[in-house]
Amino acid sequence: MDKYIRARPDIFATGRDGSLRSNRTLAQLAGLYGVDMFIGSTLQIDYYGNSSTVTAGRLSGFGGAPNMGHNPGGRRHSSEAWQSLVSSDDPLVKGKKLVVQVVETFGQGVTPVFVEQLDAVNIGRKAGLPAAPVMIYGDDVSHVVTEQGIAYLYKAENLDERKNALRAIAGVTPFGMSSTKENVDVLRQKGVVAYPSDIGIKVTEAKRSLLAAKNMEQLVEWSGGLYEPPEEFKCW
Amino acid sequence: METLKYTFQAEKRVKHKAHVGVVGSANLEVIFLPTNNSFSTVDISSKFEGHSAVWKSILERFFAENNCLADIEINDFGATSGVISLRLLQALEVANLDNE
Repeated sequence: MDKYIRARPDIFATGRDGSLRSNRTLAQLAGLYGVDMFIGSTLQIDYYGNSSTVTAGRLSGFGGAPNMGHNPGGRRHSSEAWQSLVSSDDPLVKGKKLVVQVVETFGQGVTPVFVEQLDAVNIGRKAGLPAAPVMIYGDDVSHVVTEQGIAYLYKAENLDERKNALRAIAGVTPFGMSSTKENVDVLRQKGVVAYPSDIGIKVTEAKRSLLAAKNMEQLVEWSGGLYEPPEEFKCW
Repeated sequence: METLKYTFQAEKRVKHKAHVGVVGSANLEVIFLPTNNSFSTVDISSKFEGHSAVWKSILERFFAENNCLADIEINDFGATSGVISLRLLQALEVANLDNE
Protein backbone atom coordinates (compact mmCIF):
# COMPACT_ATOMS: atom_id res chain seq x y z
CA MET A 1 0.00 0.00 0.00
CA ASP A 2 2.91 2.42 0.74
CA LYS A 3 3.82 3.14 -2.88
CA TYR A 4 0.20 3.77 -3.76
CA ILE A 5 -0.27 6.12 -0.81
CA ARG A 6 2.86 8.09 -1.75
CA ALA A 7 1.61 8.46 -5.32
CA ARG A 8 -1.84 9.75 -4.30
CA PRO A 9 -1.56 12.72 -1.93
CA ASP A 10 -4.90 13.82 -3.43
CA ILE A 11 -6.58 10.98 -1.53
CA PHE A 12 -4.34 10.31 1.46
CA ALA A 13 -3.04 12.73 4.08
CA THR A 14 0.67 12.29 3.48
CA GLY A 15 3.64 14.20 4.79
CA ARG A 16 6.59 15.60 2.80
CA ASP A 17 8.24 12.19 2.75
CA GLY A 18 5.09 10.58 1.35
CA SER A 19 4.27 8.58 4.47
CA LEU A 20 0.76 8.50 5.89
CA ARG A 21 -0.02 11.16 8.51
CA SER A 22 -2.99 11.49 10.77
CA ASN A 23 -5.06 14.33 9.45
CA ARG A 24 -7.56 13.98 12.20
CA THR A 25 -7.74 17.47 13.66
CA LEU A 26 -8.17 19.17 10.32
CA ALA A 27 -10.47 16.48 9.01
CA GLN A 28 -12.73 16.72 12.01
CA LEU A 29 -12.83 20.51 11.96
CA ALA A 30 -13.58 20.52 8.25
CA GLY A 31 -15.94 17.60 8.70
CA LEU A 32 -18.36 19.57 10.80
CA TYR A 33 -19.41 21.79 7.93
CA GLY A 34 -17.45 20.63 4.89
CA VAL A 35 -18.65 17.04 4.65
CA ASP A 36 -21.82 16.24 2.69
CA MET A 37 -22.08 12.62 3.69
CA PHE A 38 -20.93 10.38 6.49
CA ILE A 39 -21.25 6.61 6.15
CA GLY A 40 -20.70 4.57 9.27
CA SER A 41 -21.48 1.28 10.85
CA THR A 42 -22.19 0.44 14.45
CA LEU A 43 -22.87 -2.39 16.89
CA GLN A 44 -26.14 -1.28 18.48
CA ILE A 45 -28.98 0.94 17.32
CA ASP A 46 -31.94 1.65 19.57
CA TYR A 47 -35.54 1.96 18.42
CA TYR A 48 -35.12 5.68 17.73
CA GLY A 49 -31.86 5.47 15.80
CA ASN A 50 -29.38 6.32 18.57
CA SER A 51 -26.28 4.18 18.15
CA SER A 52 -23.13 3.16 19.96
CA THR A 53 -20.19 0.80 19.63
CA VAL A 54 -19.85 0.67 23.41
CA THR A 55 -21.55 -2.60 24.30
CA ALA A 56 -21.47 -4.89 27.34
CA GLY A 57 -18.04 -6.49 27.42
CA ARG A 58 -16.58 -4.23 24.78
CA LEU A 59 -15.23 -0.75 25.32
CA SER A 60 -14.19 1.13 22.23
CA GLY A 61 -12.99 4.56 21.26
CA PHE A 62 -15.30 7.06 19.64
CA GLY A 63 -13.51 7.22 16.30
CA GLY A 64 -14.66 10.03 14.05
CA ALA A 65 -18.38 9.33 14.27
CA PRO A 66 -19.40 11.85 16.96
CA ASN A 67 -17.93 14.69 14.92
CA MET A 68 -18.46 13.57 11.34
CA GLY A 69 -21.70 11.73 11.96
CA HIS A 70 -23.79 14.63 13.04
CA ASN A 71 -25.57 17.48 11.43
CA PRO A 72 -24.14 20.85 12.44
CA GLY A 73 -26.91 23.38 12.88
CA GLY A 74 -25.25 26.60 11.77
CA ARG A 75 -25.38 28.13 8.33
CA ARG A 76 -23.04 26.42 5.88
CA HIS A 77 -22.29 26.45 2.16
CA SER A 78 -25.01 24.86 0.11
CA SER A 79 -24.51 21.74 -1.96
CA GLU A 80 -26.82 19.51 -3.93
CA ALA A 81 -26.47 16.69 -1.39
CA TRP A 82 -27.11 18.97 1.58
CA GLN A 83 -30.14 20.56 -0.08
CA SER A 84 -31.55 17.18 -1.08
CA LEU A 85 -32.56 16.45 2.51
CA VAL A 86 -34.91 19.43 2.69
CA SER A 87 -38.27 17.77 3.11
CA SER A 88 -40.53 20.82 3.01
CA ASP A 89 -41.43 23.73 0.69
CA ASP A 90 -40.64 26.31 3.36
CA PRO A 91 -37.81 28.48 1.94
CA LEU A 92 -36.31 28.80 5.41
CA VAL A 93 -35.88 25.09 6.06
CA LYS A 94 -32.21 24.11 6.09
CA GLY A 95 -30.56 21.21 4.32
CA LYS A 96 -28.92 18.42 6.28
CA LYS A 97 -25.76 16.40 6.23
CA LEU A 98 -26.34 12.86 5.00
CA VAL A 99 -25.54 10.60 7.93
CA VAL A 100 -25.90 6.98 6.93
CA GLN A 101 -25.61 3.91 9.15
CA VAL A 102 -25.02 0.60 7.38
CA VAL A 103 -25.60 -2.51 9.49
CA GLU A 104 -26.67 -6.11 9.25
CA THR A 105 -29.72 -6.79 11.41
CA PHE A 106 -27.74 -9.36 13.39
CA GLY A 107 -24.18 -8.82 14.54
CA GLN A 108 -22.06 -11.76 15.66
CA GLY A 109 -24.20 -14.91 15.79
CA VAL A 110 -27.71 -14.10 16.95
CA THR A 111 -27.06 -10.77 18.63
CA PRO A 112 -29.60 -8.30 17.21
CA VAL A 113 -28.18 -4.90 16.32
CA PHE A 114 -31.54 -3.28 17.12
CA VAL A 115 -32.07 -3.06 20.88
CA GLU A 116 -34.62 -1.37 23.08
CA GLN A 117 -31.94 0.29 25.16
CA LEU A 118 -28.28 0.77 24.24
CA ASP A 119 -25.83 -1.03 26.56
CA ALA A 120 -24.07 2.34 26.54
CA VAL A 121 -26.77 3.78 28.82
CA ASN A 122 -25.99 1.46 31.74
CA ILE A 123 -22.27 1.43 31.08
CA GLY A 124 -22.25 5.22 31.15
CA ARG A 125 -24.19 5.22 34.41
CA LYS A 126 -21.90 2.65 36.06
CA ALA A 127 -18.77 4.45 34.91
CA GLY A 128 -20.13 7.74 36.25
CA LEU A 129 -19.96 9.40 32.83
CA PRO A 130 -21.87 12.68 32.63
CA ALA A 131 -23.34 11.63 29.25
CA ALA A 132 -24.04 8.12 27.98
CA PRO A 133 -21.38 7.08 25.41
CA VAL A 134 -23.67 7.39 22.39
CA MET A 135 -21.76 7.75 19.11
CA ILE A 136 -24.46 9.16 16.84
CA TYR A 137 -27.81 10.46 18.04
CA GLY A 138 -30.95 9.36 16.23
CA ASP A 139 -31.85 12.97 15.44
CA ASP A 140 -28.74 13.24 13.27
CA VAL A 141 -29.12 10.00 11.31
CA SER A 142 -30.64 10.53 7.88
CA HIS A 143 -30.60 6.94 6.56
CA VAL A 144 -30.23 3.45 8.05
CA VAL A 145 -29.44 0.65 5.61
CA THR A 146 -29.76 -3.07 6.40
CA GLU A 147 -29.87 -6.18 4.23
CA GLN A 148 -33.65 -5.78 4.23
CA GLY A 149 -33.96 -2.20 3.09
CA ILE A 150 -33.45 1.50 3.70
CA ALA A 151 -35.14 3.64 6.34
CA TYR A 152 -35.18 7.31 5.28
CA LEU A 153 -35.29 8.68 8.80
CA TYR A 154 -35.09 12.31 7.67
CA LYS A 155 -38.51 11.87 6.07
CA ALA A 156 -40.12 10.53 9.23
CA GLU A 157 -42.68 13.02 10.51
CA ASN A 158 -42.41 12.11 14.17
CA LEU A 159 -40.73 9.73 16.59
CA ASP A 160 -43.37 7.06 16.07
CA GLU A 161 -42.82 7.05 12.34
CA ARG A 162 -39.06 6.96 12.85
CA LYS A 163 -39.46 3.91 15.07
CA ASN A 164 -41.75 2.19 12.57
CA ALA A 165 -39.34 2.89 9.71
CA LEU A 166 -36.52 1.23 11.66
CA ARG A 167 -38.78 -1.67 12.59
CA ALA A 168 -39.53 -2.22 8.91
CA ILE A 169 -35.87 -2.86 8.07
CA ALA A 170 -34.95 -4.78 11.25
CA GLY A 171 -35.34 -8.20 9.59
CA VAL A 172 -36.16 -11.12 11.86
CA THR A 173 -34.81 -9.52 15.03
CA PRO A 174 -37.48 -9.28 17.77
CA PHE A 175 -37.89 -5.59 16.90
CA GLY A 176 -38.30 -6.41 13.19
CA MET A 177 -40.78 -9.20 13.91
CA SER A 178 -43.03 -6.69 15.69
CA SER A 179 -43.53 -4.86 12.40
CA THR A 180 -46.84 -5.26 10.58
CA LYS A 181 -47.32 -5.54 6.83
CA GLU A 182 -49.93 -2.73 6.82
CA ASN A 183 -47.51 -0.39 8.53
CA VAL A 184 -44.66 -1.28 6.19
CA ASP A 185 -46.84 -0.85 3.10
CA VAL A 186 -47.82 2.68 4.17
CA LEU A 187 -44.19 3.61 4.83
CA ARG A 188 -43.05 2.19 1.48
CA GLN A 189 -45.85 4.11 -0.23
CA LYS A 190 -44.75 7.34 1.46
CA GLY A 191 -41.11 6.69 0.57
CA VAL A 192 -40.02 6.57 4.22
CA VAL A 193 -38.91 2.95 3.73
CA ALA A 194 -37.61 1.27 0.57
CA TYR A 195 -37.00 -2.41 -0.06
CA PRO A 196 -34.65 -3.51 -2.85
CA SER A 197 -37.49 -4.08 -5.32
CA ASP A 198 -38.79 -0.52 -4.68
CA ILE A 199 -35.59 0.93 -6.12
CA GLY A 200 -35.16 -1.56 -8.93
CA ILE A 201 -32.69 -3.91 -7.29
CA LYS A 202 -33.00 -7.68 -7.71
CA VAL A 203 -31.46 -9.29 -4.64
CA THR A 204 -30.73 -12.45 -6.58
CA GLU A 205 -28.27 -10.47 -8.70
CA ALA A 206 -26.06 -9.83 -5.69
CA LYS A 207 -23.21 -11.99 -6.94
CA ARG A 208 -19.49 -11.54 -7.42
CA SER A 209 -20.03 -10.51 -11.03
CA LEU A 210 -21.32 -7.13 -9.73
CA LEU A 211 -18.06 -6.35 -7.97
CA ALA A 212 -15.91 -3.78 -9.75
CA ALA A 213 -12.76 -5.79 -9.12
CA LYS A 214 -13.16 -9.56 -9.39
CA ASN A 215 -9.82 -10.40 -7.82
CA MET A 216 -6.69 -8.95 -6.23
CA GLU A 217 -4.81 -8.98 -9.53
CA GLN A 218 -7.16 -6.38 -10.97
CA LEU A 219 -6.57 -4.08 -7.99
CA VAL A 220 -2.85 -4.31 -8.66
CA GLU A 221 -3.40 -3.62 -12.37
CA TRP A 222 -5.63 -0.61 -11.75
CA SER A 223 -3.14 0.94 -9.34
CA GLY A 224 -0.60 0.88 -12.15
CA GLY A 225 1.42 -1.68 -10.25
CA LEU A 226 1.74 0.61 -7.23
CA TYR A 227 -0.41 -1.48 -4.91
CA GLU A 228 1.47 -4.41 -3.44
CA PRO A 229 -0.98 -6.70 -1.64
CA PRO A 230 0.13 -8.37 1.60
CA GLU A 231 1.57 -11.86 1.15
CA GLU A 232 -1.59 -13.59 2.46
CA PHE A 233 -3.79 -11.93 -0.19
CA LYS A 234 -1.59 -12.88 -3.11
CA CYS A 235 -3.12 -16.26 -3.72
CA TRP A 236 -5.82 -15.35 -6.23
CA MET B 1 -23.43 -28.72 15.63
CA GLU B 2 -27.21 -28.48 15.41
CA THR B 3 -29.72 -30.14 13.11
CA LEU B 4 -33.17 -28.64 12.59
CA LYS B 5 -36.12 -29.90 10.58
CA TYR B 6 -39.15 -27.95 9.43
CA THR B 7 -42.09 -28.49 7.12
CA PHE B 8 -44.21 -25.84 5.42
CA GLN B 9 -47.40 -26.12 3.42
CA ALA B 10 -46.66 -24.78 -0.05
CA GLU B 11 -47.94 -24.86 -3.63
CA LYS B 12 -45.47 -23.67 -6.26
CA ARG B 13 -43.42 -26.71 -7.27
CA VAL B 14 -39.81 -25.90 -8.26
CA LYS B 15 -38.72 -27.14 -11.69
CA HIS B 16 -35.43 -28.83 -10.94
CA LYS B 17 -32.51 -29.25 -8.57
CA ALA B 18 -30.53 -26.19 -7.54
CA HIS B 19 -27.39 -25.68 -5.49
CA VAL B 20 -25.99 -22.28 -4.41
CA GLY B 21 -23.42 -21.14 -1.89
CA VAL B 22 -20.57 -22.93 -0.17
CA VAL B 23 -20.02 -24.15 3.38
CA GLY B 24 -17.39 -21.56 4.21
CA SER B 25 -16.90 -19.05 7.00
CA ALA B 26 -20.08 -16.97 7.48
CA ASN B 27 -21.61 -18.68 4.47
CA LEU B 28 -23.85 -21.63 3.73
CA GLU B 29 -24.98 -23.93 0.93
CA VAL B 30 -28.61 -24.27 -0.02
CA ILE B 31 -29.88 -27.20 -2.07
CA PHE B 32 -33.38 -27.33 -3.57
CA LEU B 33 -34.81 -30.67 -4.74
CA PRO B 34 -38.18 -31.00 -6.47
CA THR B 35 -40.75 -32.98 -4.50
CA ASN B 36 -44.07 -34.70 -5.14
CA ASN B 37 -45.36 -33.95 -1.66
CA SER B 38 -47.84 -31.18 -0.90
CA PHE B 39 -45.48 -29.65 1.65
CA SER B 40 -41.90 -28.43 1.68
CA THR B 41 -39.27 -29.86 4.00
CA VAL B 42 -36.23 -28.01 5.28
CA ASP B 43 -33.28 -29.93 6.79
CA ILE B 44 -30.68 -27.69 8.37
CA SER B 45 -27.23 -28.64 9.62
CA SER B 46 -25.56 -25.70 11.28
CA LYS B 47 -22.18 -25.45 12.95
CA PHE B 48 -23.76 -23.18 15.55
CA GLU B 49 -26.36 -24.08 18.14
CA GLY B 50 -29.22 -22.22 19.73
CA HIS B 51 -30.36 -20.29 16.65
CA SER B 52 -33.58 -22.18 15.99
CA ALA B 53 -35.84 -19.16 16.66
CA VAL B 54 -34.01 -17.14 14.02
CA TRP B 55 -34.04 -19.98 11.49
CA LYS B 56 -37.75 -20.45 12.04
CA SER B 57 -38.49 -16.73 11.54
CA ILE B 58 -36.39 -16.55 8.37
CA LEU B 59 -38.06 -19.64 6.88
CA GLU B 60 -41.57 -18.51 7.83
CA ARG B 61 -40.98 -15.23 6.00
CA PHE B 62 -39.43 -17.00 3.02
CA PHE B 63 -42.37 -19.39 2.61
CA ALA B 64 -44.96 -16.67 3.25
CA GLU B 65 -43.46 -14.62 0.43
CA ASN B 66 -42.57 -17.39 -2.04
CA ASN B 67 -44.89 -20.33 -1.33
CA CYS B 68 -42.40 -22.69 -3.01
CA LEU B 69 -42.65 -26.46 -2.91
CA ALA B 70 -39.30 -28.27 -2.56
CA ASP B 71 -37.15 -30.40 -0.32
CA ILE B 72 -34.51 -28.02 0.93
CA GLU B 73 -31.19 -28.95 2.47
CA ILE B 74 -29.10 -26.28 4.19
CA ASN B 75 -25.54 -26.67 5.42
CA ASP B 76 -24.55 -23.62 7.41
CA PHE B 77 -21.27 -22.30 8.69
CA GLY B 78 -22.44 -19.25 10.61
CA ALA B 79 -24.12 -17.21 7.87
CA THR B 80 -25.96 -14.08 9.00
CA SER B 81 -29.70 -13.81 8.52
CA GLY B 82 -29.22 -11.51 5.52
CA VAL B 83 -26.98 -14.03 3.76
CA ILE B 84 -29.38 -16.88 4.55
CA SER B 85 -32.35 -15.05 3.00
CA LEU B 86 -30.26 -14.09 -0.02
CA ARG B 87 -29.10 -17.68 -0.66
CA LEU B 88 -32.66 -19.00 -0.32
CA LEU B 89 -33.83 -16.53 -2.97
CA GLN B 90 -30.90 -17.33 -5.24
CA ALA B 91 -31.51 -21.08 -4.94
CA LEU B 92 -35.19 -20.57 -5.72
CA GLU B 93 -34.32 -18.54 -8.80
CA VAL B 94 -31.89 -21.20 -10.06
CA ALA B 95 -34.40 -23.99 -9.34
CA ASN B 96 -36.88 -22.31 -11.65
CA LEU B 97 -34.56 -21.35 -14.53
CA ASP B 98 -35.81 -22.58 -17.89
CA ASN B 99 -32.52 -23.55 -19.48
CA GLU B 100 -31.51 -26.38 -17.14
